[in-house]
Amino acid sequence: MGVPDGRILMRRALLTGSAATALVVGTLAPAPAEADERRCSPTRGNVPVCSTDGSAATATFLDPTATVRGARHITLGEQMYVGPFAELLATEHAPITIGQASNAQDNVTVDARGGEGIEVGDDVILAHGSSVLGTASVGVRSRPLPQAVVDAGVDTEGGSVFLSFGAQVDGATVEVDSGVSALARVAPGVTLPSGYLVLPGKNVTTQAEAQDPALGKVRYITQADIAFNEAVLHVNESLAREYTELHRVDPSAVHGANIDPGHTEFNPDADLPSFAGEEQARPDFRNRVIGDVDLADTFARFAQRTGERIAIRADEGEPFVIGHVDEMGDGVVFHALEHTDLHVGDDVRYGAGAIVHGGGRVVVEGQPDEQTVVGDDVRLGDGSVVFRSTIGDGARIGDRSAVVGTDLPAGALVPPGTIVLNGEVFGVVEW
Amino acid sequence: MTSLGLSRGPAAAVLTLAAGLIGCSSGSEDEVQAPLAAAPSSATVAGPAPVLASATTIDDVDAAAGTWSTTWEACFEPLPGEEDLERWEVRTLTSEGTSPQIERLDDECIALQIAQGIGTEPEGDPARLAALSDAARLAYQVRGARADRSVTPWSEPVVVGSAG
Repeated sequence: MGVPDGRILMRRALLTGSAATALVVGTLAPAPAEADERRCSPTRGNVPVCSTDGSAATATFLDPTATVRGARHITLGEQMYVGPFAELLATEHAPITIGQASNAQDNVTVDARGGEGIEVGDDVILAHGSSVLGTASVGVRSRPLPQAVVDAGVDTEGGSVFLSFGAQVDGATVEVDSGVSALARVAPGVTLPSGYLVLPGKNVTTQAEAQDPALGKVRYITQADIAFNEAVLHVNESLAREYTELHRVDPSAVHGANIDPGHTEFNPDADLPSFAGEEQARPDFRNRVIGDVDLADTFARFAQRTGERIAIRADEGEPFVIGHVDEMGDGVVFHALEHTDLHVGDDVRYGAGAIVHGGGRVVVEGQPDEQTVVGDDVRLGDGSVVFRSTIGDGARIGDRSAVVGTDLPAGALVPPGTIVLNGEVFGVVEW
Repeated sequence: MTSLGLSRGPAAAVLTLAAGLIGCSSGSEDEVQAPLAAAPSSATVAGPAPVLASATTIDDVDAAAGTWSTTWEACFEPLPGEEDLERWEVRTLTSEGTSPQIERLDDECIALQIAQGIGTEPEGDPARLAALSDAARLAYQVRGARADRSVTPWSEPVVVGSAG
């Protein structure tokens, strides 16, 4: 497919181990934030690090590109990570509260302005491109799990919620120990009870749909869902800590095209992105390109071909290899799992809000996972999702479609609003 | 199947929690694990990594209740010369990164419930397809720990739902 073979790539260690630790010594701890118990408001002076006690271990980190409106009416718990270009929009009459160890990933929108406020509890994952709108509650209320889940022996541990890529909670309540899959929605007035997970692309508009799997909109939560949530929460707590430390070492390093924080067991090296083979830090760049990203374009060409609010974040999975960009719309997100890599070919056109997410996929029993690969001349529609998949040369993925765990052949066409899971058409995006 | 003692940092050494992962051994549901922390991430690494011995996905249909459940089970084995491992440890890899948490396994197996639903034909249930797709966001690595506090390297990641 013309995708460069990136299996053997030079790693560029800039700050590792003791060197990075040594640099931390002597830096100034941020002033304690406007504390309300163990919460703080991301007012000027409390960004990008929002800390109640000056400790990186408990600090919340907001990427400098995150948009905050009505900061005095926003309270954030400890150990939160707020990713690039996330939006937290509140007013005096529509405040936002987000609990401890939750995270709002790249291009997440939490917009309370059309309602009376949004409350997000502890241990809530708002994944790339998801949104919470109006008067809403996520991960705050709970009720006993459905008997079927209890009978299956599911142990929900501390309680968590996962909103997947492009999911939306619009004027609704999502209880603890539940979730909303990619490109799915919970509509105004509906409560998604504990123990249920909305299926991909589904639009839950009635209470019956939210709590009866037989109606085809939700499924029971599983032990695998709980295990996934727990691990993601731990990962993002680490990110909050490590980005805080990186900011203390060098405040400019958390801007633009720059190094990833590294310094964790699973990603120890802090790496710079490279443009046309040249490693570069570009802290003034309007988009975020973080870590071991190998772009075929020169910086000038990449800047000219790409829009706004783009986050290419190799702080977990690396390396990313990205061919010459034909066009990249606003709000595109790249991210990947450690131990997996992500290869994208030449002349790919990325629609606004497209999400390309790496991760392993089992193709042949007993063989290594197939990595996420997007071929040459591929067209990704606006709001589309590619996750743990291989996309053949010249394939077209329609607007707001998702391709997950699938080997899509060259020239394939996925119509707009289509969910493809593990090589099967699962259904349509209903909203 | 038994519960799993989890390590959650230094303070967690005194905690024993029921956990998501369930070992393959056949102890009672009420069995309490010794509250030992997993080996620290800085433990000396030596010897060969464990390898996957088997991985299977099993559908369990309860015709009387009209429900089904799907469980994935993976078992690992040490390479020759490493048969005296004291315990097994596991860590979780997700689509968002690798969890820094290291958990202790009861034995060399992982068992995880990955789907469930209503009816007696899981193969035809779209919810099963969605749940298995979601489960594949997870992978696990396993290592052995020795009495001298050294550990083996981590095994290759095994994606949940894979067979082998």
